[in-house]
Amino acid sequence: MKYLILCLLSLPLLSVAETTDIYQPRIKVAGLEQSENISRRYGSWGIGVAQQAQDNLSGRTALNISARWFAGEHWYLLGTAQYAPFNRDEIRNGSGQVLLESGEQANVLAGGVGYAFLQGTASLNGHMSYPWQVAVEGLLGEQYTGDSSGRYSGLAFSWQLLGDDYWLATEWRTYQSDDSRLDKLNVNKGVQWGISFGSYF
Amino acid sequence: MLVLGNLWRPLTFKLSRLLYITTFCMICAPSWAQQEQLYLRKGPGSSFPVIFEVSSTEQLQPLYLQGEWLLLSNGRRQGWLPVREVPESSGLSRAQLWYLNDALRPGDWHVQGGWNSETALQLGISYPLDRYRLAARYTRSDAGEQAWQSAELGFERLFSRYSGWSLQGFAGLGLGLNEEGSRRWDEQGRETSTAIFTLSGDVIWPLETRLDLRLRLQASQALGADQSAHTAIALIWNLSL
Repeated sequence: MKYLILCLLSLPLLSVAETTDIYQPRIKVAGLEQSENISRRYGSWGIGVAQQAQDNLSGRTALNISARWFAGEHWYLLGTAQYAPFNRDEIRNGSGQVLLESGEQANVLAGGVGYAFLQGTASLNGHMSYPWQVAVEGLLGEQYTGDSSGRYSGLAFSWQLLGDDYWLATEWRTYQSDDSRLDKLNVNKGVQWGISFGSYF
Repeated sequence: MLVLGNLWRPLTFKLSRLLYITTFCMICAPSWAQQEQLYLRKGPGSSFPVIFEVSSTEQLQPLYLQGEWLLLSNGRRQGWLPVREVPESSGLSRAQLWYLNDALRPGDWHVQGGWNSETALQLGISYPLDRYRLAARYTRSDAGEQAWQSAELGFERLFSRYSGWSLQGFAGLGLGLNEEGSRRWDEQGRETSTAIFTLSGDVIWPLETRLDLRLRLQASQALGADQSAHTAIALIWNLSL
């Protein structure tokens, strides 16, 4: 009798033991474990300073930011914003009408594509070397000058020194704007050269 | 017998050496055959110089993936290798190899931008639906006083694919907006809007895995306003996201 009672009391324990035998698969999630993570680079960003030589106006310094999205080994998409003073003194025509107010700003928003046509390695001290590339870039966008604006187009050559975490570039660019107000004054074209520095994202 | 005895000793010595070499080659040859040299470059591109080489069985640590190139380190040096050349024996886990191959696959979404002969900016986006792609396009011209814009929705279809290039067509309906001063859809230059029907054909040249360049011939017919037709040639960059 006492064995029967003991058996009845131990029955719940037996049933609990059975549930642990149920197959409970571990849920797997596609992807990498934290320790397996591979960092991915999509592009680069940077800030720069440029010296502009504008037709029929004095030279000036521009500040710019840029971003590049790597589309492959050689091609990349490019976006840039540039802030620069345009002129210092106001310009009037023969009848005294103001054509260009003093202290106007020329701000550019442009996008385009770049193609790296030369790639190599540069060494500064013989011990460390860095990859570099020379790229040609085409830019299209808008230049906002004072109260007017016009389509901006540019062609640039860029020499880029590519570090592991940072990059450095020098650039030469010829550009023009089809802003009719600037076109009439023949101050809608120029060249600029500058230096940029940035990192990757 | 004496002569034979003198000859037998060097003969057995040579035979035993030959046996040792043959046995050694038979044991080691399979492992040698599996080994390949990997050429790691200074930058993420085939034009950058090779800076060192490692055996394909050497344990390598992946650092960065950029486009189709992977920066690898063997603990002492690091260099770039195309993802397609990363061997399974390089120490990368199966999950990492799967991730790398998946990262190479171009995405379904296409975004595009370019310029046409009417000095208009063209933007577009498309997504695959069975054999067609649903495409939305936006065009804007703001050259001086000739400002107009249009938006279209339609379908793209790939007609022919050749070794280096392919042909694609588009048909769509949309809305055109003629801003004041523009004579595109109104002779008097008044502000007006009209429904438009557009047909276009693209000649596509692949530039990279994710990027191609398209020469687009297009014709659009206004269904309202002055019912004018316009044709243009455009250069379009198309990117697979």
